[in-house]
Amino acid sequence: MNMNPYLPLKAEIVDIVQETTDSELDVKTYALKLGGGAKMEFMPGQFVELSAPGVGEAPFGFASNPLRNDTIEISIKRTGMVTDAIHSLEIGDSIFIRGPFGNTFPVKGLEGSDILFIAGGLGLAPLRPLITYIFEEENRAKYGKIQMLIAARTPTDFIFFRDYAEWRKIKDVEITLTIDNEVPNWAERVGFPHNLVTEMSFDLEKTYAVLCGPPIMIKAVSQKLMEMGMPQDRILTTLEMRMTCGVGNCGKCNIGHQYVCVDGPVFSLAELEGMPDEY
Amino acid sequence: MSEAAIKLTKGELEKMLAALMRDRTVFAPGSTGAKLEYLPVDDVSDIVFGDELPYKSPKDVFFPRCEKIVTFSENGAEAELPETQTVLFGARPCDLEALDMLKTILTQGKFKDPFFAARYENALIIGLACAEKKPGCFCDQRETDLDYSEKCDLFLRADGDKFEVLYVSDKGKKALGAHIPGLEQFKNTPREFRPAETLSLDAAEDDLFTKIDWEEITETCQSCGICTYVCPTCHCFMFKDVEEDDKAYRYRNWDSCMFPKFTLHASGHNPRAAKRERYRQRVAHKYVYIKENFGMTACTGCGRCIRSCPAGMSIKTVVEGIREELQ
Repeated sequence: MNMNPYLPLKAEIVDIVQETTDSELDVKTYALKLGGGAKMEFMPGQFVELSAPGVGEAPFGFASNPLRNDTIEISIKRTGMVTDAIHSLEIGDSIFIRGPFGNTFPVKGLEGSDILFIAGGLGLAPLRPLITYIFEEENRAKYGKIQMLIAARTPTDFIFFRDYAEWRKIKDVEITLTIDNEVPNWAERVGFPHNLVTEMSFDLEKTYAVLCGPPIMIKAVSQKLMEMGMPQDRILTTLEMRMTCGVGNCGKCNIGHQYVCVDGPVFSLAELEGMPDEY
Repeated sequence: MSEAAIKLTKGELEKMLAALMRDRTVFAPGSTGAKLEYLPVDDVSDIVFGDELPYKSPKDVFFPRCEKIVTFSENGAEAELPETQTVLFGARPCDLEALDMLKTILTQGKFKDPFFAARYENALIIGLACAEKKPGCFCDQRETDLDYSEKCDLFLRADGDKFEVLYVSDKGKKALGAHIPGLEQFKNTPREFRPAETLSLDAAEDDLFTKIDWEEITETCQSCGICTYVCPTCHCFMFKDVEEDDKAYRYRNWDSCMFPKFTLHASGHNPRAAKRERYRQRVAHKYVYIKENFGMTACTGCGRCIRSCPAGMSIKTVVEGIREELQ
């Protein structure tokens, strides 16, 4: 981190993957390389501010493995002015980036536990650094059984679909895919995550649930998990807020006495319960 | 050592300020027409002396309403930190208190705001006592002594047709010493702070959300944001990019938690969509959240928001009401 937290670094777009193509869900994943061979050290859960100069800047979670940071990947849904501008960029173009910001998933605290990942739509992106960190050969044995419930509206709305086959090859990994409504030739599950989570079997005593997705999914799933008896401090999620500065000064992501950009974006449900409902 | 304090006539003070103007930009109470505010002055005759409190706080000397923070070009992104040496003349004890809070919030947290820090370091701050409380002021209830503050380099108090001068910091002593030979012979006793009854909130965050009728409190609020604009401690901001020729620039502008778009997500979701939620944020941030994080209440009782509000709202009345409600 340089001394001026507002000053971005120049990076080059070295790869672009079109994840989904629906007009309402146009997601691309950008692989970025910092100028001058610099690397950005980060940990799962953290985020960056990406700039399209002349248009603006917006916060995005890292979507790639923190232990393989020659390039960093960020998944971006075309939603507004900044994301429109970024979506018009091509391989070889420049983009500006500053960070990393925010807290991290408790990678040490999760050691020894089973983990249940529940991701809805683009919500898989900010979980991918933690998933890939755990799946690194040197780390895999430190964690128990990994279950994933990955939800998307339709079969073509899944992001990082190319990863699933690889992940399924790893020991003690179970992946369930689900879509909103029945479609022909769909062999996996149908239904919302909060309805499917009750069918999953996990040990309440030694499992952490890590959730990310639309706010309504996070609320419904965590409610269901609590009803099933999972303690609130074992349910982790990551919040989205409007964030200008990333360093706790601009005031936008302030909830109670906390700032999502420095005290978050990762919070346990126990922490969220103690905060005003302003997210 | 003499028992006499340092006293300057207005002429001598003007002479000192004129000398400072040679290599510093001097900000002082001045008028562009209707209202008194802190303006850069290049002639001492433009400085308005007297007891009137400028309608806007001097925070923009350190945290301008609009400033360029990044220049993007083919070579990358660059930032130019402010290097101008400045003097802030005539800041009142309430404003000195507020600047000290901003310094704490913006430079002593996890990240340092390099723009604010540079401006603060490059400034000579000359405080000035208020002779009288103005309508709307409640500094006496907000731990501010209108007669003295040590949160500056030099502190002045009008005394008849003269100004009594105290040097507070080494920087202030050096600046004053250049104009007053034999500085050490004079008395330089800081006044004792006179604590008064304190208007503060010791409310739990949850109580503010569940036990207070913010809808009723904000019935007349226009969401205009003038309270945040004139406030000496409000410091929320946004970035705005502009393209000119081959370059792009990023400006930092004041923003306001009173504006509906302040927290609006790109998805359309808005965590504080209602006026009552935004006003609650302003009061809770100043009186509860900052106290939790930094141990101080970010309201100095300067009364500016009260005097400027087109709907006649008063943060003092609101806080008093909450205290009663939660008793």
